[in-house]
Amino acid sequence: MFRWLHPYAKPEKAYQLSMAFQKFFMPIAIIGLLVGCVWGLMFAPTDYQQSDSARIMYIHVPAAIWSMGVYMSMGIAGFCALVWQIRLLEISVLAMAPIGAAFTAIALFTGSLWGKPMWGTWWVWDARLTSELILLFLYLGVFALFQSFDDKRTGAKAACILAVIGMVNVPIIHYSVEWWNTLHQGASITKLDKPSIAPSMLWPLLINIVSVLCLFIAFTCYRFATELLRAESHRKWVLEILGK
Amino acid sequence: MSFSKFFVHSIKRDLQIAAIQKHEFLLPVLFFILVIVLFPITVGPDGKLLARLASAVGWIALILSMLIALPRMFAEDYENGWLEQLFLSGTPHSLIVTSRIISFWLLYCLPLVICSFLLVPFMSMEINLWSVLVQTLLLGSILTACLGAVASALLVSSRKGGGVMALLLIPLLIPALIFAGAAMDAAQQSLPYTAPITILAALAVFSLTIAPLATAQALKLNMG
Repeated sequence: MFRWLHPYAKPEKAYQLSMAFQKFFMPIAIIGLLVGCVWGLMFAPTDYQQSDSARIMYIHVPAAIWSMGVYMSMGIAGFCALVWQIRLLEISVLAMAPIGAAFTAIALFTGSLWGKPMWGTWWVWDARLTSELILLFLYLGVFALFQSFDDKRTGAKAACILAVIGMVNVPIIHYSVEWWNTLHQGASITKLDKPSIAPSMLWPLLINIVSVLCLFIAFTCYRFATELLRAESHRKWVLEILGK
Repeated sequence: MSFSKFFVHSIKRDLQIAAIQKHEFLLPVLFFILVIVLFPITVGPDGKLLARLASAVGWIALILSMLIALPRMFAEDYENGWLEQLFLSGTPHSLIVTSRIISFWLLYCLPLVICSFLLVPFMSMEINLWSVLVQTLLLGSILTACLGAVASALLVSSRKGGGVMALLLIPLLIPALIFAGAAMDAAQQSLPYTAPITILAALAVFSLTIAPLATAQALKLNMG
Protein backbone atom coordinates (compact mmCIF):
# COMPACT_ATOMS: atom_id res chain seq x y z
CA MET A 1 0.00 0.00 0.00
CA PHE A 2 2.76 2.41 0.94
CA ARG A 3 5.06 1.23 -1.78
CA TRP A 4 4.92 4.50 -3.69
CA LEU A 5 5.81 6.35 -0.49
CA HIS A 6 8.81 4.26 0.39
CA PRO A 7 11.40 6.03 -1.79
CA TYR A 8 10.65 9.24 0.10
CA ALA A 9 11.89 7.77 3.36
CA LYS A 10 15.30 8.35 1.85
CA PRO A 11 16.46 11.82 2.86
CA GLU A 12 17.76 12.67 -0.58
CA LYS A 13 14.42 11.97 -2.29
CA ALA A 14 12.54 13.73 0.46
CA TYR A 15 14.75 16.76 0.02
CA GLN A 16 14.11 16.88 -3.69
CA LEU A 17 10.37 16.43 -3.25
CA SER A 18 10.07 19.12 -0.60
CA MET A 19 12.10 21.56 -2.64
CA ALA A 20 9.84 20.85 -5.61
CA PHE A 21 6.77 21.40 -3.41
CA GLN A 22 8.26 24.61 -2.14
CA LYS A 23 8.92 25.87 -5.66
CA PHE A 24 5.39 24.96 -6.68
CA PHE A 25 3.48 26.39 -3.72
CA MET A 26 5.45 29.54 -3.04
CA PRO A 27 4.37 31.44 -6.20
CA ILE A 28 0.76 30.32 -5.72
CA ALA A 29 0.82 31.58 -2.16
CA ILE A 30 2.36 34.93 -3.06
CA ILE A 31 0.02 35.56 -6.01
CA GLY A 32 -2.98 34.36 -4.03
CA LEU A 33 -2.14 36.56 -1.07
CA LEU A 34 -1.62 39.57 -3.30
CA VAL A 35 -4.91 39.03 -5.12
CA GLY A 36 -6.80 38.24 -1.93
CA CYS A 37 -5.41 41.17 0.03
CA VAL A 38 -5.83 43.73 -2.73
CA TRP A 39 -9.34 42.51 -3.45
CA GLY A 40 -10.24 42.28 0.20
CA LEU A 41 -8.64 45.49 1.38
CA MET A 42 -9.53 47.73 -1.54
CA PHE A 43 -12.42 46.41 -3.60
CA ALA A 44 -14.59 44.27 -1.35
CA PRO A 45 -17.61 46.16 0.05
CA THR A 46 -17.29 47.62 3.53
CA ASP A 47 -19.11 45.93 6.36
CA TYR A 48 -22.36 47.74 7.13
CA GLN A 49 -21.78 47.55 10.88
CA GLN A 50 -18.06 47.59 11.35
CA SER A 51 -17.15 49.73 8.34
CA ASP A 52 -13.55 49.43 7.23
CA SER A 53 -12.12 47.86 10.35
CA ALA A 54 -13.73 44.54 9.42
CA ARG A 55 -11.25 44.33 6.56
CA ILE A 56 -8.66 42.98 8.95
CA MET A 57 -10.57 39.72 8.80
CA TYR A 58 -8.90 38.97 5.47
CA ILE A 59 -5.71 38.42 7.43
CA HIS A 60 -7.10 37.46 10.81
CA VAL A 61 -9.39 34.64 9.74
CA PRO A 62 -6.90 32.68 7.57
CA ALA A 63 -4.22 32.96 10.25
CA ALA A 64 -6.64 31.80 12.95
CA ILE A 65 -7.96 28.89 10.89
CA TRP A 66 -4.50 27.62 10.01
CA SER A 67 -3.11 28.12 13.48
CA MET A 68 -5.44 25.28 14.47
CA GLY A 69 -4.89 23.37 11.23
CA VAL A 70 -1.14 23.43 11.60
CA TYR A 71 -1.39 22.05 15.12
CA MET A 72 -3.59 19.22 13.87
CA SER A 73 -1.16 18.31 11.09
CA MET A 74 1.74 18.59 13.52
CA GLY A 75 0.03 16.21 15.92
CA ILE A 76 -0.74 13.72 13.18
CA ALA A 77 2.82 13.89 11.86
CA GLY A 78 4.12 13.41 15.41
CA PHE A 79 1.87 10.40 15.93
CA CYS A 80 2.99 8.77 12.71
CA ALA A 81 6.62 9.53 13.55
CA LEU A 82 6.27 7.77 16.91
CA VAL A 83 4.29 4.78 15.68
CA TRP A 84 6.29 4.02 12.54
CA GLN A 85 9.57 5.45 13.81
CA ILE A 86 10.03 7.69 10.80
CA ARG A 87 12.82 10.13 11.41
CA LEU A 88 11.85 12.45 8.59
CA LEU A 89 8.44 13.02 10.14
CA GLU A 90 10.11 14.07 13.38
CA ILE A 91 11.96 16.71 11.44
CA SER A 92 8.71 17.81 9.82
CA VAL A 93 7.10 18.31 13.24
CA LEU A 94 9.89 20.69 14.16
CA ALA A 95 9.58 22.37 10.78
CA MET A 96 5.91 23.09 11.43
CA ALA A 97 6.05 24.27 15.03
CA PRO A 98 7.46 27.82 14.59
CA ILE A 99 5.23 28.46 11.58
CA GLY A 100 2.17 27.49 13.56
CA ALA A 101 3.34 29.67 16.42
CA ALA A 102 3.75 32.56 14.01
CA PHE A 103 0.23 32.08 12.63
CA THR A 104 -1.14 31.98 16.16
CA ALA A 105 0.72 35.14 17.08
CA ILE A 106 -0.57 36.89 13.94
CA ALA A 107 -4.11 35.79 14.71
CA LEU A 108 -3.82 37.08 18.28
CA PHE A 109 -2.24 40.35 17.23
CA THR A 110 -4.68 41.16 14.43
CA GLY A 111 -7.51 40.01 16.67
CA SER A 112 -6.56 42.46 19.37
CA LEU A 113 -6.20 45.23 16.77
CA TRP A 114 -9.69 44.36 15.60
CA GLY A 115 -11.01 44.13 19.11
CA LYS A 116 -9.95 47.65 20.07
CA PRO A 117 -12.42 49.53 17.82
CA MET A 118 -15.14 46.86 17.96
CA TRP A 119 -15.22 45.72 21.57
CA GLY A 120 -13.46 48.77 22.95
CA THR A 121 -10.63 46.74 24.46
CA TRP A 122 -7.43 45.08 23.35
CA TRP A 123 -8.15 41.88 25.16
CA VAL A 124 -11.09 40.07 26.67
CA TRP A 125 -11.04 36.66 28.25
CA ASP A 126 -13.31 35.36 25.58
CA ALA A 127 -13.35 31.68 24.72
CA ARG A 128 -11.70 31.94 21.33
CA LEU A 129 -9.04 34.35 22.46
CA THR A 130 -8.18 32.20 25.43
CA SER A 131 -7.92 28.96 23.51
CA GLU A 132 -5.80 30.70 20.88
CA LEU A 133 -3.47 31.97 23.58
CA ILE A 134 -3.15 28.50 25.07
CA LEU A 135 -2.45 27.17 21.60
CA LEU A 136 0.45 29.60 21.35
CA PHE A 137 1.85 28.25 24.60
CA LEU A 138 1.49 24.69 23.31
CA TYR A 139 3.48 25.58 20.21
CA LEU A 140 6.15 27.27 22.28
CA GLY A 141 6.23 24.23 24.57
CA VAL A 142 6.93 21.90 21.65
CA PHE A 143 9.78 24.05 20.50
CA ALA A 144 11.20 24.73 23.95
CA LEU A 145 11.17 21.01 24.69
CA PHE A 146 13.15 20.34 21.54
CA GLN A 147 15.66 23.04 22.45
CA SER A 148 16.23 21.69 25.94
CA PHE A 149 17.95 18.54 24.74
CA ASP A 150 21.56 18.30 23.69
CA ASP A 151 20.80 15.33 21.49
CA LYS A 152 18.66 16.48 18.56
CA ARG A 153 17.10 13.11 17.91
CA THR A 154 15.89 12.68 21.50
CA GLY A 155 14.62 16.25 21.49
CA ALA A 156 12.71 15.69 18.27
CA LYS A 157 11.07 12.54 19.61
CA ALA A 158 10.14 14.28 22.85
CA ALA A 159 8.61 17.10 20.82
CA CYS A 160 6.57 14.53 18.90
CA ILE A 161 5.21 13.05 22.11
CA LEU A 162 4.25 16.49 23.32
CA ALA A 163 2.60 17.32 20.00
CA VAL A 164 0.48 14.19 20.26
CA ILE A 165 -0.49 14.92 23.86
CA GLY A 166 -1.37 18.44 22.83
CA MET A 167 -3.51 17.15 20.02
CA VAL A 168 -5.53 15.04 22.46
CA ASN A 169 -5.86 18.07 24.70
CA VAL A 170 -6.76 20.73 22.16
CA PRO A 171 -10.45 19.72 21.90
CA ILE A 172 -10.72 19.40 25.68
CA ILE A 173 -9.18 22.84 26.16
CA HIS A 174 -11.34 24.31 23.42
CA TYR A 175 -14.64 23.07 24.81
CA SER A 176 -13.82 23.72 28.43
CA VAL A 177 -12.85 27.29 27.60
CA GLU A 178 -16.03 27.74 25.61
CA TRP A 179 -18.01 26.45 28.57
CA TRP A 180 -16.13 28.71 30.95
CA ASN A 181 -16.87 31.75 28.85
CA THR A 182 -20.59 31.07 28.57
CA LEU A 183 -20.67 30.44 32.28
CA HIS A 184 -19.13 33.75 33.21
CA GLN A 185 -20.24 36.28 30.67
CA GLY A 186 -22.96 34.81 28.55
CA ALA A 187 -24.52 37.67 26.63
CA SER A 188 -22.33 40.56 27.63
CA ILE A 189 -20.05 40.09 24.66
CA THR A 190 -21.95 39.58 21.48
CA LYS A 191 -19.44 37.48 19.73
CA LEU A 192 -19.01 37.81 16.03
CA ASP A 193 -21.51 35.21 15.05
CA LYS A 194 -20.50 33.99 11.69
CA PRO A 195 -22.52 36.35 9.54
CA SER A 196 -24.06 34.93 6.45
CA ILE A 197 -21.29 36.57 4.58
CA ALA A 198 -21.91 38.21 1.21
CA PRO A 199 -20.27 36.49 -1.76
CA SER A 200 -18.38 39.67 -2.62
CA MET A 201 -16.62 39.43 0.74
CA LEU A 202 -16.45 35.66 0.84
CA TRP A 203 -14.33 35.27 -2.29
CA PRO A 204 -11.28 37.28 -1.24
CA LEU A 205 -11.50 35.60 2.16
CA LEU A 206 -11.51 32.14 0.60
CA ILE A 207 -8.63 33.09 -1.68
CA ASN A 208 -6.65 34.24 1.32
CA ILE A 209 -7.46 31.11 3.32
CA VAL A 210 -6.24 28.88 0.51
CA SER A 211 -3.13 30.93 -0.14
CA VAL A 212 -2.19 30.97 3.54
CA LEU A 213 -2.40 27.19 3.39
CA CYS A 214 -0.09 27.25 0.38
CA LEU A 215 2.22 29.57 2.26
CA PHE A 216 2.27 27.13 5.17
CA ILE A 217 3.11 24.23 2.88
CA ALA A 218 5.84 26.20 1.16
CA PHE A 219 7.42 27.38 4.39
CA THR A 220 7.20 23.94 5.94
CA CYS A 221 8.85 22.34 2.94
CA TYR A 222 11.58 24.92 2.97
CA ARG A 223 12.26 24.55 6.68
CA PHE A 224 12.03 20.78 6.36
CA ALA A 225 14.57 20.75 3.54
CA THR A 226 16.93 23.01 5.44
CA GLU A 227 16.68 20.94 8.60
CA LEU A 228 17.28 17.85 6.54
CA LEU A 229 20.46 19.32 5.12
CA ARG A 230 21.64 20.18 8.62
CA ALA A 231 20.82 16.74 10.01
CA GLU A 232 22.52 14.97 7.13
CA SER A 233 25.35 17.42 6.76
CA HIS A 234 27.99 14.69 6.76
CA ARG A 235 26.44 12.80 3.85
CA LYS A 236 27.69 12.80 0.35
CA TRP A 237 24.49 13.96 -1.34
CA VAL A 238 24.38 17.06 0.84
CA LEU A 239 27.89 17.97 -0.13
CA GLU A 240 26.97 17.48 -3.76
CA ILE A 241 23.98 19.77 -3.47
CA LEU A 242 25.89 22.40 -1.57
CA GLY A 243 28.83 22.14 -3.93
CA LYS A 244 26.65 22.94 -6.91
CA MET B 1 6.37 -11.58 40.93
CA SER B 2 2.73 -11.05 40.10
CA PHE B 3 1.68 -7.67 38.84
CA SER B 4 -0.40 -6.69 41.85
CA LYS B 5 2.42 -7.74 44.17
CA PHE B 6 4.89 -5.70 42.16
CA PHE B 7 2.55 -2.75 42.27
CA VAL B 8 2.23 -2.80 46.07
CA HIS B 9 5.91 -3.50 46.51
CA SER B 10 7.03 -0.61 44.35
CA ILE B 11 4.74 1.87 46.10
CA LYS B 12 6.06 0.60 49.44
CA ARG B 13 9.62 1.12 48.25
CA ASP B 14 8.91 4.71 47.24
CA LEU B 15 7.33 5.45 50.59
CA GLN B 16 10.25 3.90 52.45
CA ILE B 17 12.74 5.95 50.49
CA ALA B 18 10.73 9.07 51.24
CA ALA B 19 10.73 8.17 54.93
CA ILE B 20 14.51 8.19 54.87
CA GLN B 21 14.81 11.50 53.02
CA LYS B 22 12.18 13.47 54.85
CA HIS B 23 13.40 16.89 53.81
CA GLU B 24 12.85 15.98 50.16
CA PHE B 25 9.14 15.74 50.42
CA LEU B 26 8.66 18.42 53.03
CA LEU B 27 10.07 21.10 50.75
CA PRO B 28 7.08 21.33 48.38
CA VAL B 29 4.79 21.52 51.39
CA LEU B 30 6.76 24.43 52.80
CA PHE B 31 6.71 26.08 49.40
CA PHE B 32 2.94 25.63 49.24
CA ILE B 33 2.52 27.33 52.60
CA LEU B 34 4.84 30.16 51.60
CA VAL B 35 2.86 30.88 48.45
CA ILE B 36 -0.34 30.98 50.49
CA VAL B 37 1.28 33.39 52.92
CA LEU B 38 2.44 35.63 50.08
CA PHE B 39 -1.08 36.48 49.01
CA PRO B 40 -2.45 38.09 52.18
CA ILE B 41 0.78 40.05 52.46
CA THR B 42 0.72 41.39 48.91
CA VAL B 43 -3.04 41.90 48.65
CA GLY B 44 -3.51 43.29 52.13
CA PRO B 45 -5.42 41.96 55.12
CA ASP B 46 -8.90 42.64 53.72
CA GLY B 47 -10.86 39.56 54.77
CA LYS B 48 -13.59 39.80 52.16
CA LEU B 49 -11.22 40.10 49.22
CA LEU B 50 -9.04 37.31 50.59
CA ALA B 51 -12.02 35.01 50.97
CA ARG B 52 -12.96 35.72 47.37
CA LEU B 53 -9.43 34.83 46.23
CA ALA B 54 -8.91 31.85 48.53
CA SER B 55 -9.81 29.01 46.16
CA ALA B 56 -7.74 30.50 43.35
CA VAL B 57 -4.80 30.87 45.71
CA GLY B 58 -5.13 27.23 46.74
CA TRP B 59 -4.93 26.13 43.13
CA ILE B 60 -2.08 28.42 42.19
CA ALA B 61 -0.08 27.31 45.20
CA LEU B 62 -0.73 23.67 44.31
CA ILE B 63 0.49 24.11 40.75
CA LEU B 64 3.56 26.09 41.75
CA SER B 65 4.63 23.56 44.34
CA MET B 66 4.02 20.79 41.83
CA LEU B 67 6.52 22.53 39.56
CA ILE B 68 9.00 22.24 42.40
CA ALA B 69 8.26 18.61 43.12
CA LEU B 70 7.78 17.17 39.64
CA PRO B 71 11.36 17.24 38.34
CA ARG B 72 12.28 14.75 41.09
CA MET B 73 9.61 12.26 40.10
CA PHE B 74 11.91 10.07 37.99
CA ALA B 75 15.23 11.87 38.25
CA GLU B 76 16.90 9.83 40.98
CA ASP B 77 15.84 6.43 39.70
CA TYR B 78 16.81 7.44 36.21
CA GLU B 79 20.28 8.49 37.25
CA ASN B 80 21.14 5.46 39.37
CA GLY B 81 19.84 3.05 36.73
CA TRP B 82 17.01 1.54 38.78
CA LEU B 83 14.44 2.62 36.23
CA GLU B 84 16.33 1.05 33.36
CA GLN B 85 16.60 -2.25 35.22
CA LEU B 86 12.88 -2.18 35.89
CA PHE B 87 12.13 -1.49 32.25
CA LEU B 88 14.30 -4.44 31.26
CA SER B 89 12.69 -6.74 33.82
CA GLY B 90 9.65 -7.49 31.67
CA THR B 91 7.15 -5.82 33.95
CA PRO B 92 4.68 -3.78 31.86
CA HIS B 93 6.09 -0.29 31.59
CA SER B 94 2.81 1.45 32.20
CA LEU B 95 2.44 -0.49 35.45
CA ILE B 96 5.82 0.77 36.67
CA VAL B 97 4.83 4.29 35.78
CA THR B 98 1.37 4.04 37.32
CA SER B 99 2.77 2.88 40.64
CA ARG B 100 5.20 5.78 40.57
CA ILE B 101 2.41 8.25 39.82
CA ILE B 102 0.39 6.92 42.73
CA SER B 103 3.28 7.04 45.19
CA PHE B 104 4.12 10.53 43.97
CA TRP B 105 0.53 11.57 44.56
CA LEU B 106 0.60 10.10 48.07
CA LEU B 107 3.89 11.78 48.91
CA TYR B 108 3.60 15.15 47.27
CA CYS B 109 -0.03 15.90 46.42
CA LEU B 110 -1.93 14.58 49.39
CA PRO B 111 0.06 16.61 51.96
CA LEU B 112 -0.60 19.75 49.93
CA VAL B 113 -4.32 19.06 49.80
CA ILE B 114 -4.32 18.60 53.56
CA CYS B 115 -2.28 21.76 54.02
CA SER B 116 -4.83 23.71 52.03
CA PHE B 117 -6.75 23.82 55.31
CA LEU B 118 -4.48 26.76 56.11
CA LEU B 119 -6.59 28.79 53.70
CA VAL B 120 -9.38 28.75 56.25
CA PRO B 121 -7.57 30.77 58.91
CA PHE B 122 -5.15 32.64 56.62
CA MET B 123 -7.57 33.78 53.95
CA SER B 124 -10.79 33.69 56.02
CA MET B 125 -12.26 31.01 53.84
CA GLU B 126 -15.55 29.45 54.88
CA ILE B 127 -15.17 25.90 55.99
CA ASN B 128 -17.90 24.47 53.76
CA LEU B 129 -16.35 26.19 50.75
CA TRP B 130 -13.04 24.65 51.76
CA SER B 131 -14.62 21.20 51.65
CA VAL B 132 -15.56 21.84 48.02
CA LEU B 133 -12.08 23.13 47.29
CA VAL B 134 -10.61 19.95 48.75
CA GLN B 135 -12.70 17.87 46.39
CA THR B 136 -11.47 19.84 43.39
CA LEU B 137 -7.90 19.73 44.66
CA LEU B 138 -8.03 15.97 45.24
CA LEU B 139 -9.23 15.27 41.72
CA GLY B 140 -7.16 18.01 40.16
CA SER B 141 -3.98 16.85 41.84
CA ILE B 142 -4.43 13.40 40.31
CA LEU B 143 -4.67 15.09 36.93
CA THR B 144 -1.65 17.23 37.73
CA ALA B 145 0.36 14.21 38.82
CA CYS B 146 -0.50 12.37 35.60
CA LEU B 147 0.28 15.23 33.22
CA GLY B 148 3.29 16.10 35.34
CA ALA B 149 4.54 12.53 35.05
CA VAL B 150 4.59 12.91 31.28
CA ALA B 151 6.33 16.27 31.46
CA SER B 152 8.84 15.07 34.02
CA ALA B 153 9.56 11.93 32.01
CA LEU B 154 10.08 13.96 28.85
CA LEU B 155 12.56 16.21 30.61
CA VAL B 156 14.30 13.56 32.70
CA SER B 157 17.54 13.51 30.73
CA SER B 158 17.66 17.18 29.77
CA ARG B 159 19.84 19.38 31.89
CA LYS B 160 18.38 22.63 30.60
CA GLY B 161 14.79 21.61 31.18
CA GLY B 162 13.95 23.31 34.46
CA GLY B 163 12.02 26.23 33.06
CA VAL B 164 10.35 24.20 30.37
CA MET B 165 8.31 22.23 32.92
CA ALA B 166 5.93 25.14 33.45
CA LEU B 167 5.47 25.60 29.73
CA LEU B 168 4.60 21.94 29.31
CA LEU B 169 2.36 21.57 32.32
CA ILE B 170 0.33 24.73 32.70
CA PRO B 171 -1.38 24.91 29.28
CA LEU B 172 -2.50 21.31 29.67
CA LEU B 173 -3.94 22.04 33.09
CA ILE B 174 -6.26 24.83 31.94
CA PRO B 175 -9.36 22.59 31.62
CA ALA B 176 -8.91 21.35 35.19
CA LEU B 177 -8.62 24.92 36.44
CA ILE B 178 -11.73 25.96 34.58
CA PHE B 179 -13.86 23.17 35.99
CA ALA B 180 -12.48 23.65 39.48
CA GLY B 181 -13.27 27.34 39.21
CA ALA B 182 -16.76 26.56 38.00
CA ALA B 183 -17.33 24.26 40.98
CA MET B 184 -16.08 26.90 43.40
CA ASP B 185 -18.27 29.57 41.82
CA ALA B 186 -21.33 27.37 42.06
CA ALA B 187 -20.55 26.51 45.67
CA GLN B 188 -20.09 30.16 46.53
CA GLN B 189 -23.57 30.92 45.23
CA SER B 190 -24.84 27.77 47.02
CA LEU B 191 -25.83 26.16 43.74
CA PRO B 192 -25.30 22.46 43.02
CA TYR B 193 -21.69 21.88 42.00
CA THR B 194 -21.72 18.17 41.18
CA ALA B 195 -21.49 18.64 37.42
CA PRO B 196 -18.06 20.31 37.23
CA ILE B 197 -16.73 17.98 39.93
CA THR B 198 -17.81 14.94 37.93
CA ILE B 199 -16.21 16.35 34.79
CA LEU B 200 -13.05 16.92 36.80
CA ALA B 201 -13.23 13.31 37.99
CA ALA B 202 -13.68 12.17 34.39
CA LEU B 203 -10.63 14.14 33.35
CA ALA B 204 -8.64 12.60 36.19
CA VAL B 205 -9.64 9.07 35.24
CA PHE B 206 -8.98 9.75 31.57
CA SER B 207 -5.52 11.09 32.27
CA LEU B 208 -4.74 8.23 34.65
CA THR B 209 -5.57 5.89 31.77
CA ILE B 210 -3.62 7.63 29.03
CA ALA B 211 -0.74 9.30 30.85
CA PRO B 212 1.12 6.10 31.94
CA LEU B 213 1.41 5.04 28.29
CA ALA B 214 2.81 8.40 27.23
CA THR B 215 5.09 8.52 30.28
CA ALA B 216 6.50 5.06 29.60
CA GLN B 217 7.10 6.07 26.00
CA ALA B 218 8.87 9.25 27.10
CA LEU B 219 11.07 7.39 29.58
CA LYS B 220 12.04 4.79 27.02
CA LEU B 221 12.98 7.59 24.70
CA ASN B 222 15.28 9.12 27.28
CA MET B 223 16.97 5.80 27.95
CA GLY B 224 17.92 5.83 24.28
